[in-house]
Amino acid sequence: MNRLDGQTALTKDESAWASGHSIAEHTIRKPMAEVDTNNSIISREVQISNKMGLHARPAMQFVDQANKFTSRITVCKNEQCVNAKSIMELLLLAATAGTKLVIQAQGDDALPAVETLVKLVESKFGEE
Amino acid sequence: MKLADIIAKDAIVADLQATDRDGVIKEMIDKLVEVGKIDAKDAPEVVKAIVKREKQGSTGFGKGVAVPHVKHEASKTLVATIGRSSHGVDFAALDRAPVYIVVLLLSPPENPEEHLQAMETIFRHLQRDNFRKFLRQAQNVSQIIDLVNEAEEIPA
Repeated sequence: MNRLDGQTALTKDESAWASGHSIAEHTIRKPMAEVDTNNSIISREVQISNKMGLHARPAMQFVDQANKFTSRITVCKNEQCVNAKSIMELLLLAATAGTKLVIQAQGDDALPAVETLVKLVESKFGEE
Repeated sequence: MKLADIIAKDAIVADLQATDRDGVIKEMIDKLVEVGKIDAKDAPEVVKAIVKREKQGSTGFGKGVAVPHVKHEASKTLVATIGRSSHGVDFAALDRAPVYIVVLLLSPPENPEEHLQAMETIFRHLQRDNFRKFLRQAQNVSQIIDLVNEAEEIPA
């Protein structure tokens, strides 16, 4: 807003330059802003709390939920990160009860994606 | 955990005769009974439990492999075996493709950590294109045993 206010005080020539500049800036900034939105990474840590750990059935539930989102989602156990949309990769984590996982999403629906998956883990996948 | 440590090598079936999912599960359990890994009296229950588990969600995770498994009292120690089908079996796989390699895993119910480690070991190898390819091409049990023993060294 301040910048726009400032522009009104510019001379005609400066104003012409400024508006040109502002268009240029606009064309550069807008896509940048979109890229920023798409690139915002949402990340949450969650602990596996069901007794059986992330075995095949819960892993399948996890993949099913993850696939409802367009964001790129990864799950990390320590340094090992896998694609949350692949059942085989998730099972490679061997995430036993007590394991801390970091769920990370990048994309338009990153926030709801991470929230949904965290909630699923916290619900113990409907197990004990 | 190494693949060679969990596969009962004498229970490997190089050429599955059964042509449907339940038949394949039964054939592999029968083999585990034959080599003394589970009691004959427990076999029908175990088959039933694995089939039930498959119905809840296919373990045909794609790429022509299925990993039917169950945690069951009948299995005193964790044990797995490999079955290879030359014609392909409908496992209601996630990618709808027929299954050519079946790794069947039984684990005692009280050790979920060990079960997850075994799944990790199995998938670490099944994820690799070469391992799946070599398994599919294996002609007999001894070739499959070689593959299992050398699994860690096979290039991806």
